[in-house]
Order: sequence, then structure tokens, then C-alpha cells
Amino acid sequence: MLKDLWPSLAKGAAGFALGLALWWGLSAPYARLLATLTEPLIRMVERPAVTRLIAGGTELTIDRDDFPRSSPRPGLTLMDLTANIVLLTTLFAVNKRPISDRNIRGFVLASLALLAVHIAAIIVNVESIYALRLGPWSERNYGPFARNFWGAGAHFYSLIGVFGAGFALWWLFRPSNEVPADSRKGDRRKTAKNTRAPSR
Amino acid sequence: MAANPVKPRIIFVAKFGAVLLVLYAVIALNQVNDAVIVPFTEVVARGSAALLRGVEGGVDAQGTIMRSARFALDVRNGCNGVEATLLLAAAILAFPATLRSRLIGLVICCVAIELLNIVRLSSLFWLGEHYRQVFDLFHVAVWQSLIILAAISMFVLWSWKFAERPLAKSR
Repeated sequence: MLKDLWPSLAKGAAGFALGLALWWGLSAPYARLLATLTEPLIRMVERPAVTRLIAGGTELTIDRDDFPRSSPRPGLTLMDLTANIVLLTTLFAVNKRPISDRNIRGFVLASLALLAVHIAAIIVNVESIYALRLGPWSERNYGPFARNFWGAGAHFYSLIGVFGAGFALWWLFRPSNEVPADSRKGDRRKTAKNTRAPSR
Repeated sequence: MAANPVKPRIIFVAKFGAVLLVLYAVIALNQVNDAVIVPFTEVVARGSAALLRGVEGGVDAQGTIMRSARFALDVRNGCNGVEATLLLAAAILAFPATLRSRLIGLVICCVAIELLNIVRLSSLFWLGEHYRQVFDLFHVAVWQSLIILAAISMFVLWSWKFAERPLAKSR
């Protein structure tokens, strides 16, 4: 077990550095991409369709056509919502053959799924801001259930969902021979370690 | 016929997500937060301050706040290690294993995560005191990811080497 530890740690460190560089270096263009993809989805379900998402650096400014001109616009820090890019990159880097076609295909698919997760997270966070942070306007337009739903959704994602999603996507898309846990065919029928199968 | 490798993964991820939601719902209750999470966070803050006092003096903890003459750090949800523990617990509970090995894995891994979290908070406080310019990077990106990676590594190791698989039902 120990002889596998150092190569895994080295691959993990390299993947972590790469993930950090990707997350940090591409944060501004990624914010623009997320704003472009998310805004139409929010406008699709709201009546009237008035929300505008404006990417500026690593933040999204949330604007609405019906906001008073003089009022400040709420903002959303994207770095917290997208930190699972580092986790996903590290986990795929630790896989047995990190630059094999299968691993890279899995990483690309998982990254695309993560993009969908980030879009969903932004929608939940924007709704949470609408439901909870706009004073009397929030109370007028969102009932108690909706306020709790969007608030809890945003809190869940920021606390554990962000990393839970990264782990779940790695588990789903990693090459099948990486962790033997689900590839030990018929393992459920065999005994493990200290247990014995009933004799016939 | 070859077994479909995707199905067990989907089942695991579905169970993992469901358990994570349930555990979150439990800790999100105000009563649980006030009676368990906040006192636990205070213990974590005291432990981190005690560890730092071994390196340099003048660090104290009052409630969930660690403070010295130059810096103060309020340990909140997201920094107390509970999120990594929940993730680890959800993965262990979702994985097909015997109750005994799940319980052993939960106890050992959760204690290890919390000990690591004490090191994390101490190092963050030290960085805040001496290298404030990199504090945010280490707070948001480096340590947060490392603690989750540690939790996932422990789960993978447990599922690979130590989890006892349950016996199949007799026909």
C-alpha cells in the first residue's frame, strides 16, 4: 500500500496545482461563460423576464430592469461556487493512468457536468438573493416556503454541495478500474475479510 | 454476461446525495446548531488555539473566536470540519459494507478529519497573523480543498482496503 502512496501524492499535488491554476487563471472568462449560459435560463422561467447577469472579473452583478436606477445591485462571488474545479482536477489526476484517453474522456465529461452544476448553483443563489436579501420586495414576491427553499438550497451548496458534487462526478466518470470497490465482480456474493459464507 | 459498471455507481451517488441531504437537514436545524454545532466549534477553536500556543504565545480562544494581539479569526460553519465530516459520513453510509466496518470507519475517519482541521485552523491563523496577503487563497482554495481531499482519500482507502462487504441473501 505504501509503495503506491508517493506516486499518488505526487500526481495529486500536480493535479491540485493544475486545478488551482485553471480555477484561478480562467476565472474571469469562465464567469463570462456562466453569465451567458445562465441568464437565458433564469429569464425563461421568470415573468416578466427582467434579470440580467453581468460578469465583472470573478463576480456576477445581478441586475433587473425593474430595479430603481439609484439602488445598489447585489453581487455573487463565483470563486466560492466553482472551487470544486480544483477538487475534480486533483481526483482525476490521482487516477492510475491520468493522461490515458479514458481518464481524459472521463474528466471532460465530468467537467461538462460540473458546468451544469455551476449553472444550477448560480440560479439557486440568484433566487436566494431575490427571496431573502431584497427586504420588502422579497417578502412581497416570495412566500415562506419559497424563501426557505431557496435559502436552504444556496446554503447547502455553499457548505457541502459544492464539494459533494465534485466527488460524485469523479465517482461517476472515473475509469472503471480505478477503485476496485465496484469492480470486484461478484464481491457481494463472496465473503470479505472476517466473514464466512454459509456452507451448503 | 458482463456486469454493467455504471449501475452501482449511479446507485452509490444517489444514496450519497440522499444521505448528504438528510445530514444537512439535521445540522441545519436551529436546535441542533445551538446545542451541538456551536459548542463543538468552540472546542475546535480552543484546540486550535492550544496547538498554536505550542508554537507561539499569546493566542487565546473565546467562544468560537481565536484571537491574538494582531489577528482574530471567527470559526464558523464551513471551517469547523463538519462539512468534511458530513461528506465522509455520507460516502461511508452509502457504500455497501457491514454495519461494523461502517461504524469503525466513521469513528476513525471523523476523528482524523477533525484533528486535521485543528491543524488547518492553526495554520490559517498563523498565516493571517504573518502573511495576510495569502490568507484568502489558503482559506478558500487550498485548505478547503485539502480537507475535502483528505476526507475523500480516507473514504477511498476505507472502501478499498477495510470495508467488509455484506453477505448476499441466501436464495
